[in-house]
This record gives sequence, C-alpha cells and structure tokens, in this order.
Amino acid sequence: MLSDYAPLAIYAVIVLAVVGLMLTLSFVLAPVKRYRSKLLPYESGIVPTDPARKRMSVRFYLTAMLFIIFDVEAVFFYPWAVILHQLRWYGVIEMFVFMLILLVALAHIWRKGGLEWE
Amino acid sequence: MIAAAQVTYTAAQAWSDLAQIGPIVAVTVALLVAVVVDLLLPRGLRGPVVTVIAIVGLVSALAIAAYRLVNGYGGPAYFRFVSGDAFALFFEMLFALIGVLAVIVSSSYVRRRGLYEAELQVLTLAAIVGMMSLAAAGSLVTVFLGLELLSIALYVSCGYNRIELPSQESAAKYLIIGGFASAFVLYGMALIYGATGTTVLSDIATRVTSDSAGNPLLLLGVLLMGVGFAFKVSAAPFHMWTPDVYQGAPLPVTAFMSVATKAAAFAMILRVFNYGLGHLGPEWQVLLAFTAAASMVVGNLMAIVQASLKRMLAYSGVAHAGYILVGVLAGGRAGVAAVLFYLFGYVFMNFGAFAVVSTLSGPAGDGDLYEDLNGLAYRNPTLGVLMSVFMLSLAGFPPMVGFFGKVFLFTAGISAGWTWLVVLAVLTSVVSVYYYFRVLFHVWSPLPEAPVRFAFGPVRGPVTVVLLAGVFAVALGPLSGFLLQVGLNGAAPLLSGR
Amino acid sequence: MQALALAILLFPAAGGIFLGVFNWRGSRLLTAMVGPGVIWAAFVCVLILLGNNVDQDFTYWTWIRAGSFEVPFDILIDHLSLFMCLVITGVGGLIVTYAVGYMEHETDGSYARFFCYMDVFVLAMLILVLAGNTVFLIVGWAGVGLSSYLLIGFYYWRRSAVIAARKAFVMNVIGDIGMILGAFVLFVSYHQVVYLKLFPALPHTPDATTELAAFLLLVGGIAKSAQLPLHTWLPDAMEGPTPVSALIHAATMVTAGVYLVARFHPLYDATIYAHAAVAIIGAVTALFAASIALVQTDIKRVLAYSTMSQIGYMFLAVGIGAYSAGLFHLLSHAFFKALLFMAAGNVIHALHDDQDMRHYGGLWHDMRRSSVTFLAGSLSLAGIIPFVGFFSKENVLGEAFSRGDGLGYAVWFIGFVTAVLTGFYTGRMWWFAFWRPASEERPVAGHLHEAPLVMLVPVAVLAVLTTVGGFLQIKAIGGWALVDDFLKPVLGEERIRTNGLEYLATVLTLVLAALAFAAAYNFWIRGTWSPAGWRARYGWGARVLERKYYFDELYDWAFVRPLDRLAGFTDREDRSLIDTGAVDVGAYTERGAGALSLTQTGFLRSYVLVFVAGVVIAAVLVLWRASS
Repeated sequence: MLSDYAPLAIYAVIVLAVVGLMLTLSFVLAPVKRYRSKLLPYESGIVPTDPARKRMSVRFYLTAMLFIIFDVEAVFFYPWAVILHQLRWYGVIEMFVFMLILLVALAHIWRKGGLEWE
Repeated sequence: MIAAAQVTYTAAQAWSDLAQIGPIVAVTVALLVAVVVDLLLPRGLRGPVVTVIAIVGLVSALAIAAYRLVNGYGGPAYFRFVSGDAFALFFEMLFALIGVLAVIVSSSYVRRRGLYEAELQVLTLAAIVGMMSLAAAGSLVTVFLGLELLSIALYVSCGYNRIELPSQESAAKYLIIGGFASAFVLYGMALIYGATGTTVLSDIATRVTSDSAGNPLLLLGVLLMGVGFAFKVSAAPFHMWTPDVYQGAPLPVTAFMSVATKAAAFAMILRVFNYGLGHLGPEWQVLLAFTAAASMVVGNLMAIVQASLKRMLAYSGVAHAGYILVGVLAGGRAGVAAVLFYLFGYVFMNFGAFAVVSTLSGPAGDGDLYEDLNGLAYRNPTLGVLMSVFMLSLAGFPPMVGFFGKVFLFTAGISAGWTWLVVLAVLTSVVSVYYYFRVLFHVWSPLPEAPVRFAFGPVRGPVTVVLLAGVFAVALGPLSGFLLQVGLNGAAPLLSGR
Repeated sequence: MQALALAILLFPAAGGIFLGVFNWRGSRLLTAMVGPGVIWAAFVCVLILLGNNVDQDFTYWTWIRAGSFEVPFDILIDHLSLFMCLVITGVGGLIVTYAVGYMEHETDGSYARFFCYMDVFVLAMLILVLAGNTVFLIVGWAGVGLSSYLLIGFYYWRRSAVIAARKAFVMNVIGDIGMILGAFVLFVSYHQVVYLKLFPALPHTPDATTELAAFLLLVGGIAKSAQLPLHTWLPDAMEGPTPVSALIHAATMVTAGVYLVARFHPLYDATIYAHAAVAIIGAVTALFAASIALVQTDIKRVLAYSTMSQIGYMFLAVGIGAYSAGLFHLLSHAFFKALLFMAAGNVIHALHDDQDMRHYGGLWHDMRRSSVTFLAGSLSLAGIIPFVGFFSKENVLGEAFSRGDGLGYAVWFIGFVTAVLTGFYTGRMWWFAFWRPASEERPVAGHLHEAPLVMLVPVAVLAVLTTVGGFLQIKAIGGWALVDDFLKPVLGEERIRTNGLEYLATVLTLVLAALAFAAAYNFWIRGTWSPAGWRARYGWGARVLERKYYFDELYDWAFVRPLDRLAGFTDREDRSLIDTGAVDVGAYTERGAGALSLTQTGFLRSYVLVFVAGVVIAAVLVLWRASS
C-alpha cells in the first residue's frame, strides 16, 4: 500500500533538504560583489553582442521536433529488448514492422526536404 | 511485480489480436502505402493515386468491420488494451464511411482551390486511425493514444491552406486550446490511474464502486477528464474554439472534423464514463448535464446571429452535442443506442450540408455566406433540394433521420429521469428551426440579379457525396428500426461488463 | 417467394424513381418502355406467386419500434390481395400501355412526369392491398390520395384541374383521418396492428368499440370510393387525362373502399350497424349517381357518375356480407369501365379533347373499331347477358334478394331501380353520342382518325375480357362460381341460392334494363318521345339533377364559407395579436444572442478564460454533488 512507498518519500525529503541546504549555505556564506563584469551573462569575459531574446530560425524547431519524435520512439526498443527472448520470432517481426513504419516516416521527411537546412 | 510477469504470447494469439483491430490495420496500411506512393510517383499522379488508395483502404476497413459485426466476432485483444467488440465495430464502420465521403469531397476541393492533394488525404487517414483506436480503446493509454493521433492530424489539416491567414489562425487556435484540453485529459487519467492502479477500463469498472465516490483522486480525475471530453465534443462552455477553427479550416476538413471528431469523442465518453466509471454516474452526470444544458442554449442562440454558414453550422454542432449528451446521461441500453443512432444520422445530415457548401468554393475562396446560397435550388436543383433535406433533418423534421434521432434521445432521456434537460432540449430545438429555415429561405429565393460570387467548378465528386448523404438522411428515417437495432447491438458491450 | 413478393412493390417504385429522377427530360422511347414495363413486370410477379399458390405473411424487417408498439414491414400474400394485385397490375398495365399513345402530344417533360406519377400511383395502390398491417395500409392509403392528387392536377396550368385536384385531396384527407382514427381505435383496444394477429383478437359479438372502429374505417372507404356524402370530388376529377380516369376513377383507386371492407370482414361481420350502413350507403349512392348520370352531357362525367353508381353496388354487396360478389363486381367493373373510359378516350383524342356529347354523333360510322368496343362496354354496364356486367351485377342483386330480410329486400329494390336507370342512361350515351348522325358542332370536320394500335390493342383486350369474363362465375344461370371458390380461403363461404324466385328477379332485371336501353333509342334517334318535351314538363327535376342535388352548394354553404370567415377572422387576429408577440419574442432572442456573441472575441486568451471559468463551475458542481 502507500506505506510501501515510505522509503521513496524519505529519499525525496532528503534530496530536497540537501539541495536546499547547499543552495542556502552558498547564498548566505559566499561573499557578494556586484559590478558590471560580474553581472554579464558570460563570466568568462566574452562580451555579448546582441540581446539574448532574438528570433531563431524555425528550422531549429523543426529539427528538434523531428529528433524528439525519433528519440521517443527509439525508447520502445528498450522494453522490447528486455523480453525479446520470451517474444521469440513474433517479437522480432513485430519490431521490424515498427521500424519499417519509422523508416517510411524518415523517408517521407527526407524526400519532402525536412532535413535540408536551406 | 514487474519482474514476475511471465509473458506468454503465441503466434495464434498474435493473429487473433491483429484480427480484432482489422479495420485499424487496413487503414494504417493504406496510410503507409499512400505515404510511400506520394514519395515515388511523378507529381501529376500523386493526388489521384493517393485518393484511390485511401478509398480502397477505407472501404476494406468498412468491409472487414461489417463482416466481423455480422458474424458476431469481437472481443478483447492485446491484454485488454484494445477491444474489437460490436461497439468498436459500429464506430469503425462509421469512421470508414465518413472517411470515404471526406476523401471524395477533399479531392475535388483541393483541386479547385489549387492545393496539394496527397498529404491532406494522408492526414485524413491518420485522423481516422486515431478515431478508430479511440472507439476500440480498452485502456486509458489507448484512449490517449487515439486522442492525440486524431488531434495532431487535425491540427495540421486545419492549417493545410498555408498561404491563407484564417487557415493558419484556425490551426494555431486549435493547437493551443487542444493542447490545453489534452493536458486536462491526461492529468485526469493519471489521477484515475493513481486511484485505481490500472489503466484497463474493465478493471477500472470493477475496482471503482459507488463507495469510491468519496475518493478525491477519482473526483478530480473525473472532473479533469470530463472537461477535456467536453472540449472534444465542442460542448459549451468549452466550445469557444469551434467557430473560429471551423471557419478558418479548409471546408472538407471542417466537414470531416464536425462529424468524425464528435463521433470519436462520444465514443470515448461512452467508453470511459458509461463503461469504465459507470459507478461514479452521479458525479460525472452533473458535469455533463451542466455542459449539455449550456451547449443547447449557447449553441442555438449564437447560431441565430451568424452570417457565415460555417460558423452557423459550428454553433449548430455545439447545440447537437448538447442533444447527444442527453443520451449519454440517460445511459443504459436505450440511451447508448440512441447516441449511436444519432451520431450515425448526424454524420450524414451535417456532412451533407458541409459538402453542399463546399461546392461553392472556387479558386477565389470559400463561399460560406448565406447570400452565396441564393437561388441554389434553381442553379442546381439536386443540391438545392438536398440542402433542404439536410436542414430539415438537422431541425428534426419527420420523416428525416434527425427526427427519429431526437425522438430516441429524448425518450431515453425522459425514461432515465432527465425531464428538465429534455424540456430544455425541445425548447431550444424550436429556436434552431429559425436558423435552419433561414438557409432554406436563401436556397429557394429567386436567382440573384447580380452574378453569383462563386460559380460551380467541377463538382461531380461532392455532388455524389451529397446525393449519398441525402439518401441516407431520408432513408434512415423509415429504416430507423433497423438502425436502432444495430445501435442496440453496438451498445451491448458497454453494458455486459457490469 | 419472399423476394418475389417484395419485387411486386419494387418494380413500380424503381420505375417511378427512374422516370422522376433520371429520365426527367430523357428519351421518350425509354419512358414509353419503362412506364408500362415495370407494371407488366409486377404483373408477372403476381402471376408467379399465383402459380405457386403462395399464401403467407412475409415479414421483412421491423419498421417502427417504440416501447410495446411494434410495426413490422410485412406483405400479406393471400387470395384476396393477389386478386386485387391482378386487377391493379393487369388492368393497370393495359391502361398505362394505352397512355403511351394517348399522351403522345405532351412535351417530353410532361410525358415522363405522367408515367412517373402513374407508376407511383400503382405502387401506392399495391402497398395498400399488400399491406399486412394497418400502419402500412395507411401509408398506401395516403400514397394513393397523393398520387391521385398529382394525376388529377396533371394539367396544372388549367385552373379547373388544380381546383379539382385540391377538392379530391381534401375529400380524401377527410377519409384518411377516419381511417387513421379507426386503425387507432383498433390498436388501442386490441394492441395489434398486424392483420393476422388483429383479426383473431376481435370479438364475435357486436360491441361499441368494434362499431366505432368499423364506422371510422368506413369513413375512409367512403371518401376513397366516392360514396355519399363524400362523393363530390369524383366527377370533378375528370379534369385529369383520360387514362388517369380509367386507372384511378374506374379500375383501382375507387375500389379501395370495397377492398377495405372485404379485408376487414372479420370486423364488419362482428358489427350490426356499421355493416348495415355499408349496404345502405352503397345502395343509396347507386341510385343517386345513376339519376344524375341521366342528364349529364359530358361523356366522362356520365362515366364518372356511372362509376359511383357501380361502386355503390359493390358497397351494397360487401355491406350484406356477400364479399366475393362485391369483388367479382369489382373485377367486372374494372374490365368494362376501363374499357369505356379508354374507348371514350379514343373518341376524345380524335375530336381534339372535346368531351361534350352534344358535339358528337356519327362515330359508329367514322370510328368503327372504338365504337364496337364501346358498345361492348355499354351493354356490360347496362347488364345485358352475356357480358360480364350482367353476371356480376346479377350476382350482387341475387345475394341481396336471397338474404331474405328487410335490409336485403330494400337494397335489392334500390339496386333493381338503379339497374333500370343504368340501362337508360347507358342507352342514351350510346345512341346519342355514337349512333346518331354527326352533329354540326363536331369540332373536327370530315373523317376522324381512328386511334393508333397502341391505344386500340389494350381496348380490344378489355373488350374481349368484357365479353367472355362473365363466364368466370355464372351463378345467375345456375353454373359454377370460380371467383367465390378462389376467394373462399379468405372470405369464407358464400350463400347458396334457395328458390326459383331469385331467378325470376334476375330475368325481370335483365328484361327491364334491356328495355330501358332500347327505349333510349326512341328518345334520341327516332324522336318518338322528345327530351325537350320531358324537360319542359319536369323542368325542376332536370335542374335538381343537373345541379347534382345541390351537394356542392350545400357544402359550400355549410363548410367552405363559414371556414372562410373563420379563417379571415383568425388571420386578422393572428396578425395583430399573435404575430406581434412572436415577432417580439424573436427580437428579444436575437438581441440576447447578439449580446452573447460579444463573448466570442476571437482572442485566444478570452477563450481560455471561458474555458477555465467552465472548469471552475464544473468543479463546484462535482464537489457539490459528491458532498451531498
């Protein structure tokens, strides 16, 4: 029942406490000196040239979206791999069907120019 | 617990499971073939070939579903995550039928509007796969999978006319609000899972008893899912997106969305609420009763003041969602059967009306003002007469199917004790006569002196669809007994579990 | 067999749809093939069913189901419905074939329209007789009314045709209401709509419920069969094309009332007053109509009144329980009256649509073939041996006479007088229109064109049937009775003649009717007696007859004008009181909707706001429900 999860809850509390403690301590103990160079985005000393909130090419989003789609679907391989020996040939065929569908999608994106930058 | 699960999954089981989702498989295969064909064929051939593939896939899905329904096959599959029962088969047939109609109308529409044909058909197929999964869902996971599949395909379809601002607006609004609602549904599902420890609907049905009404997790889950479902059927007050999205989207997409999404969403509501959470009836009923009442009032009132046919039909769709919710609330054999009956009839009358409007589209745009219908009965008598049939059916005049649908819904509502809601429904349907007859007025008005805005292009396809829909809208009236029998048959799986 | 029974309906239905939808302005040839073709196809189906001796109630599917109320879609095939189907498709087929020639002058659109209506009419009539339950019967009943309305008003550019069509429709609807109420009473009392379940449930002794139901059904029968007092539409309905008159107003539609009583004979057998009313109405109508026919000058109107009169005989027969005698007369009447109408149609066609007998004459000389067939029909109508009319009319009167009670003798006497009058007006029609020398007012000078073959052949077929058809049932001369035997399974045994007195009555009727037919010769050819002289002596009588006993005036005074005044009053009040109210309500509703539509801003943020507001309301409601 719920009490089975008690260790998990204790663990969560400890994590929160440790993280909170560390952040608070560093905030309290660290010496703070505020001047211009310190407040710049890059502490390494490179001077920013543009404001950070600028428009990005929509292609970034497209690429990111396509990546996520394939990424998420690739996750299905893990549980499949775990029980593959139980599924036997059926599992193998099934996964090939799945990959075929993914391949069709990939081919589609490719041919439609989804992977081209320009 | 997880490690102990010993999977025994034989090839025979695999085949039988695959057969249970036969219609879905057929449409999926058609979808994949269409995507590949779209890549390989020369540009001029793509559109027609993809359309043909889509029709072949949908018709075979229809045939498989009909065959299985007649032979009484059907049962759970894939560890009860999916079910190929009579309820699923009923909706699979319905979606395949709508799909055929939509594909034909779109094919003609995109050609007249100069749009790319193949991808729209692929998106339609994808949406239908989603809808079928929704109807066949045996688990909350499958429900969400189907819901997202259909929604995402429709978001894209709405923005299909990329160069036009309204189409983009439609897609953006639908996407944002749709995502919002999906989040509600997903959160609700998570809570239900949290409360019951399972996502399988039949297990939920046994684990949730009327004693569990006090469980706050369940209550919140019901609330959140109910809101999301109400959004999907475009019931007030979660309907605000409907008119804008319907107006901006390309007409065939609107037509498809207006009937298919609604049917799919009702299938989902029936599966999850009437079946899975049947014992929490009083809790979700109060939520749905509120939305039903609001939908009837808001939908019918707002439809009066619209100048655009698409918007008018959008609001009329809101009102009809309210009527159908009466059947959902009534529940039981009679109520569920009435809902199935109404959805089936509604498909033809509403799709037919949209298909008529779609014939008015030309390269310049969509003719969706009342004035564009002026003299339609004399310009094209077939379309004029059938538009009148659709309007009369939507208004619920006998002997059209709309009349019988309302009768069944309302009798089911009254015998389940929802008298006040039925009274409201009847009163508001009287209001609806006003705006449906306004269409008739324009259709039968004399030919306008000035040249009409939109001349007819090549509209053989849509006219066929309109004729088909018209025949159904009229013929299903006298054949209502038969259809109701089919509906009762489809309702049975939802009730036998309890 | 099940499919075949349905095919009887499907053929005319397909024909009507094809002509109405696809061949509207299409090929004339196709129209001329399909129009009659589908009816002949149905005729063949009927013959096959007959050949296989089918006697069954075919249920196809459940048509309406609401609670315990369940109406199947069923077709009742028994000897009665097959008998009616034979008449409808057989005689109907001949008539529609004839129309191919008669309607040839119409434009293409009208041509297709005509055959579309005809097929729809035959469909409705077949539904009426094949119906296996009262609801389906009402569908056919109303369908017949509708299609006859369309056919009577076929020449819709003629005002008189439109008015006649409307009159027929209104009268028929009055009947329909009676019919529907009757069926309703039966359902409420016995909870059955299917005949085969309803009839066994009926009581055998008279009670108020059965009387009421039988009277209400009779109202329907009277209206459709143009019996007193709902008869006024039939003469006016002659505005329709002549094949229509032949099909609707002679062979089929007007006999629906007779069929109704015969079909519901278990009900009528169980009643006393309603059953007697059938006989009395029939007898009075027979005499009434025959007397009016004496003075009519329009040949189709004479035939129309003679139709009323002959239907009166049929009602008389079924009213005294002689069902198969009534149906035999129905069959015989279908033969000879369709023949008379179509032969008259040939003449009218040749004389450029002139229907006034005063303009006729010389037809025996100019149109020999049509005249010969008309003569056969006339002699049959007058009841001269050996034509079919003699045997069937004698059969009816013989049954009445042999009943041996007051009602029997009374209706026999009225029928006897009517038979003599019938002989006289038929003779008048024959001698005056056909035999005498050509009138100077004849619209076509010189030689007349005999009708084309497509019009002559159906007429000839009917002439042959009229001449030999009587030998189906020769009870009058003590012989066999094939019609009785055929209908026995449904209608039961007929009475057997008892004594020689009945044969004497038969001979008396025959002789007097023949004499009356011959006497007309003296009036209109030899001039021994002058019609003008009689008119001078009995001017008031002629006027009463010419004004048809003032029935139209009476109805106008009693119903039409008061209703007009009432309508005028309600119209004024409606405008000032109700319309204003309705318009106001509408205006407020629209204003409210306008205000509501302000929420539809088009901004996504406001949509989400409404959404969230909805969630809050829903949450409150759910919590309230859960806590209560």
